[in-house]
Amino acid sequence: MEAEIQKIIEEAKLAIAQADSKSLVAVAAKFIGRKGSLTEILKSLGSLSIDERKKIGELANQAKVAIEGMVTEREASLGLVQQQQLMQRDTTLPGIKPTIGHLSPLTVVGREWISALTELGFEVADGPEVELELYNFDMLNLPPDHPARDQWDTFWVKKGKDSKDSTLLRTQTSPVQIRYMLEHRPPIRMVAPGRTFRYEAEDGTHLSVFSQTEGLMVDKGISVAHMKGVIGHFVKKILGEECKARFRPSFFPFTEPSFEVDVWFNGKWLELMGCGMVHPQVLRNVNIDPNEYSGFAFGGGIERLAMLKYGINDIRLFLSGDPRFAEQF
Amino acid sequence: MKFSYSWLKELAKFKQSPHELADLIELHITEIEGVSGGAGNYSGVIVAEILEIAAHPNADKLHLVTLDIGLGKRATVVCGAKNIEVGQKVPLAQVGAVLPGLPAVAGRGQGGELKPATIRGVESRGMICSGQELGMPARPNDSGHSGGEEKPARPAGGSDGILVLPKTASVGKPVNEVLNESGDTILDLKILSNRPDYLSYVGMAREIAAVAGIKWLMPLELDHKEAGDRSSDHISAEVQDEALCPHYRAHFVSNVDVKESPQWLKDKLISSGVRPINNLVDISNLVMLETGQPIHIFDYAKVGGKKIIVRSAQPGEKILTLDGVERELPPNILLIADQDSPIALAGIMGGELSAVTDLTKEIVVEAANFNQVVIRRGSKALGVATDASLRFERSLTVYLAELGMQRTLNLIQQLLPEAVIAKGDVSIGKSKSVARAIECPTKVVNDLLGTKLTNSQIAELLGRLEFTVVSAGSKLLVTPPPFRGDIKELADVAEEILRLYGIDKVAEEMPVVPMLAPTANPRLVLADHFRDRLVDSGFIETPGHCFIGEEWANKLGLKLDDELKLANPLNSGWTHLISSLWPNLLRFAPKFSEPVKIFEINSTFNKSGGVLPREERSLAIFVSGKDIDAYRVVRGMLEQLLASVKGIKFAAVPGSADDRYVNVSRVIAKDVALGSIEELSPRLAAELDLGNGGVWAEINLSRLLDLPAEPIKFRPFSKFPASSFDISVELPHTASAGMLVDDIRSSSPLVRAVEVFDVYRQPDGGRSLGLHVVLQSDERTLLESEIRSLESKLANIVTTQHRGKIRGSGSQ
Repeated sequence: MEAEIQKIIEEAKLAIAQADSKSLVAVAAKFIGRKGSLTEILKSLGSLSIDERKKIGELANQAKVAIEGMVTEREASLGLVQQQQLMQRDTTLPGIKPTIGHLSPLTVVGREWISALTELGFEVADGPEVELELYNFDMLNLPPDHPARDQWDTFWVKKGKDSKDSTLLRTQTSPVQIRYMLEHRPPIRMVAPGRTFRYEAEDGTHLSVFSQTEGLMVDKGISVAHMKGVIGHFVKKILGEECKARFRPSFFPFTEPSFEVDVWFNGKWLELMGCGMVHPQVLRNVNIDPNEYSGFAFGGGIERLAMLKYGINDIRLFLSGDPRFAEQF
Repeated sequence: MKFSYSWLKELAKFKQSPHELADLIELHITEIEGVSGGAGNYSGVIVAEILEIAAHPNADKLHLVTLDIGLGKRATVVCGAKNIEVGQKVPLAQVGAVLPGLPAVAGRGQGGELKPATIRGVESRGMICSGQELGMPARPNDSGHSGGEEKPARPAGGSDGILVLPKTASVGKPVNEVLNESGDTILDLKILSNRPDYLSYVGMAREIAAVAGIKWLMPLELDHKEAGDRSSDHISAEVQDEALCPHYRAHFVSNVDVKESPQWLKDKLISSGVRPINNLVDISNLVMLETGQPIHIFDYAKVGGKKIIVRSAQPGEKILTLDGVERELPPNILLIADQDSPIALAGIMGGELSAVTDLTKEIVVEAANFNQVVIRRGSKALGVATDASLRFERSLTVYLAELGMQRTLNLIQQLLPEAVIAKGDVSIGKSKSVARAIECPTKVVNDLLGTKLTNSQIAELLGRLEFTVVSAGSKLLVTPPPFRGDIKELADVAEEILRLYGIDKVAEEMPVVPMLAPTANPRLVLADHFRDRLVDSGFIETPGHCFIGEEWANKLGLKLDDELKLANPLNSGWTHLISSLWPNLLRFAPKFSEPVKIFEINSTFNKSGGVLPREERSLAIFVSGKDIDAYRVVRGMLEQLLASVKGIKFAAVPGSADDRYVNVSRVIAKDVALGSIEELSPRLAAELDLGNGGVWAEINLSRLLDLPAEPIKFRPFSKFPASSFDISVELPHTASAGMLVDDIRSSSPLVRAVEVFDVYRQPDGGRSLGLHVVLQSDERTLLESEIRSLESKLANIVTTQHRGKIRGSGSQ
């Protein structure tokens, strides 16, 4: 019996040392489990004499403690305890987000607008927000006393003696076209983002300070078909591949023909922006010969596009400095 | 302009339903701004039940009617109708209601808003409406109800009968929902500013016919019989400056009988939002709606000297206009005058004294063409826009005057059969302009549109719009019709071709161009780089308006004297353009939960010597929070953003106890001032509802862009291990921790980094600092003795140069 116990200890030592994290429990059970070899010896103690029972019992119990010790040691060396503790982690707790800030949706959508054009080789241009009346109106084929000026209610900074001497908050980004074309010769591909102003009381659909972006392309042989091609690319890029554009007749003094662009979005046509072929008079104003070159321009409001994309229902939120709005983007 | 579907159909004979017509117009003509049932074209009108009818204390024919308007509320209004009875359900226009039958607000003929009124000393909070006031056309048994038990609501020929609604109508409900009129459809069309012909039924019907491919014939009857004397026997006309009035035409008519117009005429006017007045005025308004030519009719008896003079106003002249206002005339406004005084504002509004009245027997009909600029300036100077001025300022063609006159005389003959129309017009100036043919090479047109149209296709399309097209080999000679003053060059013709051909038929095509790379825009690149850095660091971008006014400036202790002022600010809070962005951030900051970290990048404006102001791009950031050192967060953010700028310094500016902004540091790069960091005084912070104070910084990005950026240069790293130790230092309040750090950093080439990891402020103003010093050599592993000797060198710097104490130190 003593030798048997000794043998069990030797066997256990060997088996436990070779056990891995998966087999350790089974290996231990082979010796000290309910039907383990050592347990069997302990169960058979009743058939022995009192002295024998005492002696063997003590030995067997010592062996059991020793084997349990070996198992615990093996468990530790296999990292099973930490493993089990670690596995008690509640993986369903919500994550801890890093504190990062938020861009204004005007920046987000403005960047999308710009990159849809820069990837076609359009160059990003900018110009002053306080602009000469000359560039904001006259050179865009909007002479003084033109009724179309009513479409652009204007904040005046200074009413000078003529349009070269009068300044206003630009009502559109189109004066950037004039500045750009005065400095660059065709071929021209330009995108101009920027803040624009309209002298009107603010409500859920009107802001007096808002953002526009426009594209301009001038080269030999540029046609309405090209304009439709570029705008088609543009709307797919910003509103998704399924988006399509529709063109309706309109009037802008600086383009002829002029169109409104509607986009098919969420199951209906929504007005997105204006466009047209650059008016020959505008080209003449910047010393580009309209008999040699033609071009198109298109532009619209960033707020309108962002409202469409995100389902924003009040345009005033963009400049409200309201955290409940700002933190959503 | 609002167009009646059935009226357009009468003129153009198209087959399209209102819905189909709207689509056709939208894709080929102009934008649809609204479509509505003619009768439902009002708002703010509810069903009310008459509870009580009492006599008006001051007027026999008026009643005080008390009505149940729903939700337990009552209203009392003054009403003159005879057919009212207690228990009737009636349409009540409440204050603010918009009715087609009311005079328009700005004289633009779009229907007006109902205002509270005091009638004979009693306030009336609303109006019980007739069918006509709701824009309903007259019908034989016009009552608007479904059941037949009630009597017709509107007595024939009058507007004094109120409309009685079915008994089943529920009180308080909008009347539009109850009436469900199956009447006409009204299309509200956007009038493009180059197309005055869209401001007329004939013009719009002609467009529709062209687009729908229907043969167009002038649908208006124009003929009339003339008899008796010549117009010139009765009236003469003089135009002082033909540049301002290229064409003037007048016709004398006698034996007129001024009375109410027939119902069909009134209905037509109401459907377009024009209030019927009397037969002559209504005829002139109808002709304007039909042809686009404003017509004016004078009472001949009131024309002094029997002579009409078209001239500019003289200083001090006045006129009582048709709207009952006596107006001081601005200089250079164009007048119609008799030999003594002004009788009308040319192209804008008639005079009260020369207007047709019930007693008028002889009239002068005027159809004229006025220069668009003089009318627009006059209308702007007076602040009066009318149906007439709206048309003239869009440049009408002279051709319309004769058409308008013929149609007016035709209608006078139809409606006033006893009238005697004198022979011949009195006419000054050219009645026709000679249209110039525009040369349109077919290839140029097709190249511009991206089409492949043939000469005959183009000729067919333009022919529908009454253009004359002569094909001459590779080009077309295109002459616009006399009513199209807007067609001046090939691009204009191309637009007409494309509209009729169909923009949707042009296939999308990507241009083929040389592969030229765009140049990056440094201003936007920098702004975007900063935005990304700031957002990555937990800042929220909060753009604002670029305006400031006295109230906010006062609150922040700013003076507006040197700021750029707007000539026409929207309100008193937005009178000036901002010269820095941080005032906006202070406005937004209290709305944010702590820690507040917000920023804006935008333009700022300063006066300059030139015409345009100095406009610069700026960055402002604001930080506030109880558990953070806001000042160091702001400064650290700037240090991070400006890391690539050579020689950035933060120079402290001494402050005083009464400053609103304290702890000012100027941000300087070499000699260039880039901006500053400033902290709100506790008092200002409390006033702004920022209990934990706050720190703002503003950096001029335009100046920053002018500085050379330091390019990144790789520095080989040492192969030898770094050592470090911490020292704990006590500094008196007079010492600068920043200078101590700088001195330690430059004390030996072995010092690679100095970090402040702990700051504790002592009650006496001194500070305890924990500094972490990193030492490393490129050539060898540092010996313990070298480290110890550097440690004592640094301790020496602390105690002798900065009068501090060493509280402890230790290596790691």
